[in-house]
Amino acid sequence: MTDSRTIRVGTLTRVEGEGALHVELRNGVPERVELNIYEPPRFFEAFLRGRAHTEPPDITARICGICPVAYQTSAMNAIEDACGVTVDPQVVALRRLLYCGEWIHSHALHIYMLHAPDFLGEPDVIAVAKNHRAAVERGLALKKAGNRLMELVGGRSIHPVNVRLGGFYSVPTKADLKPMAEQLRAALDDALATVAWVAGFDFPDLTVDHELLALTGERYPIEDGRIVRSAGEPFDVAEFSDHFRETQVPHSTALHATLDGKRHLTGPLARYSLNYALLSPVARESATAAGLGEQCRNPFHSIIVRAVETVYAVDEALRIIDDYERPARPFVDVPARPGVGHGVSEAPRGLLYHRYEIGQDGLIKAAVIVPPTAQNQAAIEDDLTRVVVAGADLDDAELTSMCERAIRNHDPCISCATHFLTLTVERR
Amino acid sequence: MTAVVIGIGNDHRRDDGVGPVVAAVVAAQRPGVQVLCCAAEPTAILDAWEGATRAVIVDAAAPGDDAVPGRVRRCTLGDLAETRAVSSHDLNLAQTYRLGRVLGRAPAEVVVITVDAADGGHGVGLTPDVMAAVPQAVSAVLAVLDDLG
Repeated sequence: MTDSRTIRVGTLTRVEGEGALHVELRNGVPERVELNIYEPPRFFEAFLRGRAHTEPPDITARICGICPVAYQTSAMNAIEDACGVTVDPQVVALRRLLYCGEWIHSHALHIYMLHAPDFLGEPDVIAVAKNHRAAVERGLALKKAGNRLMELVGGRSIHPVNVRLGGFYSVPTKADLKPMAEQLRAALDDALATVAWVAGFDFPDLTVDHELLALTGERYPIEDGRIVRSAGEPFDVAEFSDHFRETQVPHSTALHATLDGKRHLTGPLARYSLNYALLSPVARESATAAGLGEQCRNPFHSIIVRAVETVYAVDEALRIIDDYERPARPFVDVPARPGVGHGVSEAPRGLLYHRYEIGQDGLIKAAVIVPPTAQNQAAIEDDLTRVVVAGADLDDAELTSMCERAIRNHDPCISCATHFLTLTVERR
Repeated sequence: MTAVVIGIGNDHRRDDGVGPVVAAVVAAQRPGVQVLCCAAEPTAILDAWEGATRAVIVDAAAPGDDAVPGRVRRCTLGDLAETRAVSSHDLNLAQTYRLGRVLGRAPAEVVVITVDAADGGHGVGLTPDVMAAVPQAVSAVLAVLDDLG
């Protein structure tokens, strides 16, 4: 007798954007596991064509309200590359400082408001707050510190307005940054307490073998870097399109991206596993105390990795403020030059690639944007397959919950990917 | 009794900016009242109404088939409970209030004054019907404050 099983869930919660999941099982074996992204395509790449070369940082920031700095930074890196312009090292430091604010804000939001409820068996952060009031207060304080840092450097916390090609419209004095350092010192204690808190959760066993992809550099990668991977040879940013293929799949309005024809994973697990040695001592010590090794391949542990990265981002922001010297000029001119430029940075959810072609008229002739969630769709579907196989004995409600958790492990941003969720499980 | 007036909105999205405009007029007329403008972001709102016993929130009501541009209405958060957050990565106003109550960081009462918007598109400046409704919205806020005695 054939055992068929169908589980359907409406709209997935605690993820950004609109999508669904469809799983079909026959005799406990998954036959179809699809992440259905039905949020309409947003056509950013198309309407960037014909715009001035100075506009993509502000336009692409609008792709996401959680990680606008990632879009601004990858766009600026790509256009400055196309135009052959190098910016002042202190301006780069300020970009990294602004980006630290985004990491702190985004990671605190995901850890406390979206992901922790999964481990505490609660539906949402409001229910978590009833039994873990101090923890939620701590999360809000961390998020606030990140927001404040973005306001200070970027002018405002959502879609910063002080960012421009070549640098910033205005740059803070050392004295301007001093009160922020006080708030960040308190945030460092909160970030360390966060690692200890999440390390105490119960974690399902799951080991994944996706190829890992991240940036690396002299420091833990945030605002720029070289592309490295866990299996293949590293490659130059300019060769990105030689290794990546974006394909349309019937069940998603977001393009699926593969690395040399295979699934891969970008984001905190990849970043951590490929850059462990670059963490600051306080961040590395917090990881060790939480029981993490130098590699992390259990996606359920991503909440710990995000907490460790939050420690790093706070610590790094303090370092940048301590070393800061106000640049003589807030920006350098970036005259348009015909050509092609490539830019990458590490968004909170992973590697974000931009490519722009600038025409003879100085206008954008072509744009390519490859966000992390689009890259991670195949890896998320593979995680789901493993979770469904391992959880074949679970009842429908339990299995559905595990599937949703497997998705939230990756903090997917569907709005970014469509430039994601309703869940359907069928057992036959 | 202490009250805070919070204007919520984005002044670069036409009539969505009516909340901050009304709050600014109230601030000029009632110097002793704490008036703040912010985006509908949870930590900003929790901070904005901390310590107040009553909060008056002024916000634009989304343009739509049922909207009467410039119409001013007084309602409670319960009337808004089904609204969705702008981003699913964040909390909406009613969820923020419930979180604030659990954390002991929300006023006992929240009154919401809404102004129906005609245009929530890109650009600055209110449409004429919404601009004309500002005095009525200000009066509605002041009436709530005067109820406090």
